[in-house]
Amino acid sequence: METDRIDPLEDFVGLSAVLTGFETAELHGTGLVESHYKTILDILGERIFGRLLLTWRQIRESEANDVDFDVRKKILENSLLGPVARNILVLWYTGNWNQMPGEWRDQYGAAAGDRTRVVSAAAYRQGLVWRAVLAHPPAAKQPGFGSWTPPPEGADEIDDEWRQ
Amino acid sequence: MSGGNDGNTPRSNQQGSAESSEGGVTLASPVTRAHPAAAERIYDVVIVGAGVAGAILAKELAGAGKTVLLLEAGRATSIRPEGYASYVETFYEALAKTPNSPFPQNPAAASSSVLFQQRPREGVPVTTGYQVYKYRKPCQGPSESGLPFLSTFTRALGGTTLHFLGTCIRMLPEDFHLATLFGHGIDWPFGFETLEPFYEKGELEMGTAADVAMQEREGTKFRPGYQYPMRQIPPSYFDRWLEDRIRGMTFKMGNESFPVEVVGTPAGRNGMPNPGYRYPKEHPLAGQPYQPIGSPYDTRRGQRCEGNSNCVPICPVMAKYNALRTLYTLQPKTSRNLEIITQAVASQIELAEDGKVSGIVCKLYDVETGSQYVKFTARGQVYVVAAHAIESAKLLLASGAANSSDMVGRNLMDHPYLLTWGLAPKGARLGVNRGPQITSELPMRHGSFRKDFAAFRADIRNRGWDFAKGSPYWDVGMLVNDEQRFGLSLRDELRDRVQRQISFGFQIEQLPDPDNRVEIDDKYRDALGNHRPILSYDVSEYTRKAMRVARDLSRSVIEHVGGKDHTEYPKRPKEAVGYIDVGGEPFEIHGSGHIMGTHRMGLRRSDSVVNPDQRTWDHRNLFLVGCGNMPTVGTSNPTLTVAALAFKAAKAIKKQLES
Ligand SMILES: Cc1cc2nc3c(=O)[nH]c(=O)nc-3n(C[C@H](O)[C@H](O)[C@H](O)COP(=O)(O)OP(=O)(O)OC[C@H]3O[C@@H](n4cnc5c(N)ncnc54)[C@H](O)[C@@H]3O)c2cc1C
Ligand code: SF4
Repeated sequence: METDRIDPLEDFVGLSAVLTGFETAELHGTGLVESHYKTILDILGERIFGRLLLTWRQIRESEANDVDFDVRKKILENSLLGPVARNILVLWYTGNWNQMPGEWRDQYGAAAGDRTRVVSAAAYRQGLVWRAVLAHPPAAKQPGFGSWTPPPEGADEIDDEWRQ
Repeated sequence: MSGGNDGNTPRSNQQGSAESSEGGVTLASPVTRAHPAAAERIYDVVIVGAGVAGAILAKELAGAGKTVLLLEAGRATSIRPEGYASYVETFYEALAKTPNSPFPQNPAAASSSVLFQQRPREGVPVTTGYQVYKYRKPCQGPSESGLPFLSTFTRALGGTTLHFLGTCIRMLPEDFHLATLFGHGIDWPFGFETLEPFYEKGELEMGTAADVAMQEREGTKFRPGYQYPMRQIPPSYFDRWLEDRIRGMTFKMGNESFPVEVVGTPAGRNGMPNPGYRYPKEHPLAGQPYQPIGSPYDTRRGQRCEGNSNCVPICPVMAKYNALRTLYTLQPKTSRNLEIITQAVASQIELAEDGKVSGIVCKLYDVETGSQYVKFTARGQVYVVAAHAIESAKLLLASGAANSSDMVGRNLMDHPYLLTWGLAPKGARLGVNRGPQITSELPMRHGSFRKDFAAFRADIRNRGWDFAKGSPYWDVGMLVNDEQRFGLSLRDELRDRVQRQISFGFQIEQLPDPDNRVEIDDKYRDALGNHRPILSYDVSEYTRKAMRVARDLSRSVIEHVGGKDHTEYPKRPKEAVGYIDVGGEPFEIHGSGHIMGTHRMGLRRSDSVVNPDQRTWDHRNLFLVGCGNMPTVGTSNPTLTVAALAFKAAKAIKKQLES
């Protein structure tokens, strides 16, 4: 069977990288690849999650020169896969799984595990949103005393007594 | 009596203690789960409530050689470092990261929660949470529903300071004479000078970092030569950015023009020790330079704020003061004189024929959810209720105590919290989401405008639109679901937007109003059969007017820096719990977490509950300590003032015991 030859975890990371705008190495660095994969699989089941990964794999293998365009067309604008991909993206960014939209559930079926929640403390701490906005998650990865005073990346120094 | 047992049955005696003696401070804690011997003893002092007020009293009185029993309704989860760490984990996993999210609900001694706040309608109180919200007709605007009281408290060992922000600011001298100077509210029974020495003690106890000269410019007074234990916490980049751009700006209020200035906020948060500070002569470290105390479990941790940006609701390293520090850093002598019993809910103040208090009846529970408890009566020479403004008032009402003035439970106040928000010009990066949630403010605390409308302080929020919108998660949702962004386009846009988010939080003075109140009704009881507080609340025109001014000030500042105002409030009461009408325009307020005024202090027994010693007029051996004593509230977050009042009360109690 075709599915025997694919490495679904690698497909998951590859798709996640395109969705999130982070490198696959950065995603591996969160330590969450496997647990996110498992969380999503538990919630959505093999049929839907497998379909998403298969679609991604076809995009990747087609060697299309605009992967983003294909991901938008074939995944994000697809009524089954779009809401799933967006939920996965939000999961990576925040650590929260949001319940699938009501209309989606009416059409593709509800699942007991599909509840809005923080999937784990680690998922909260590793939320990519904090890195994207040049910050750190509240109550974790604290950057140290006084780290808030100098300019953030890309901002100008200010000429005052706190100038370093 | 449901499942109760009136005997003083001996209970498991789980002694917990954290002992070490590093850095010159002895750490020891005398907490027990329940103490069989306590039933037999007559203590010098019995205190209800192990929050900052109760903790300071306990430490002071036990340190002066008095035997003290401290009764705490909540659990002592924090007695071990793993317990405190579990609060942090609970916070991580909480979907709604509200002030009480780290602390599991405990039906035997419930905390109030913002999640259960709804607007009451006439004849239809809100009863879904622990607190009952009763309708009070709003003084302006639509009247189909009213405001619930918007602030919350925590019941666990350490009390509400477990999740407070840490702002430690003195009241201004003029705040003590609001009636005389501005014709509003009432005067305090004493002036600032009386409290000044106790403010110094409070600032030491809470480990305050601030700058005297900066505070003096705001109208605060200090003893000549005084220095805070620690230097001002460094400002955020956003504070600096704002200061740089509003230099020289003025704002007209009433007939006066005011400079708009960025001022560092004093905080009970560890920073660099002030080299000029020396411990006072009555302190065991007299004459030595200041040493910050961080985590009482491990003194090497938390000696500096590490920039966790999470003071509300929990500091993972305990660089921010909470009352556990007062309870866990005791001298051995103090430790010996103090017993703390947790899971002991004071349920009745027992009154004797001579008008004195003869005991405090507690319900000791094991299982929080059941109605099983054991009754126990604590006895002492002197009794102190320090259960925070709502619970203290409730206990007095339930006991028929201290209420000859009919002022118990009345004059409930908060600092209504008005959020405003906007975006800095394109390309700006403000350093949003770094450092303590608030490091500086825009103060409008004093001036003749107080005749017309309330004074306020605006928090300069370091976390963008977090409170206003739920950023940055909110932005993620908008960009991903509404704008269909992903990949680098999402990442870059998210950064650029969030980095431009400006937000201010105005804490506005509220006047005492006897109809803002705590009541009880036998209909409403909790798991142990104790009364649940019933709260009625509104905000008067004096404070509403200031909201309009605050809103204008915010808009002026945002425009002055080249930004754009984005503040928008829900249009109808149905759309927001904190909906409030200001002269026909919809606004929205939140709570500041400041619960005050419910058993006020005064010079006359006819219109106050306690005298300037904080002793009840009605019972010679009953004192009340906490924010409930404040006759008016100025623009200062109340806890430093409460700490000062607790030191003052300790002195009066010592004197009474020794006379
Ligand atoms: C989100 C938030 C932020 C805040 N930020 C600030 C700030 O920056 N600066 C500031 O000054 N203030 C702030 N506050 C207010 C501050 O937390 C309170 O003013 C302060 O904790 C009051 O101290 P207390 O000891 O009187 O009461 P608490 O700290 O509430 O302690 C009361 C104790 O009594 C116990 N108790 C209650 N009922 C009973 C009973 N029946 N029997 C036995 N024990 C009982 C409780 O369990 C609790 O431990 C904030 C509050 C909130 C909610
Ligand atoms: S900013 Fe963080 S480390 Fe600093 S006091 Fe607040 S929670 Fe603690």
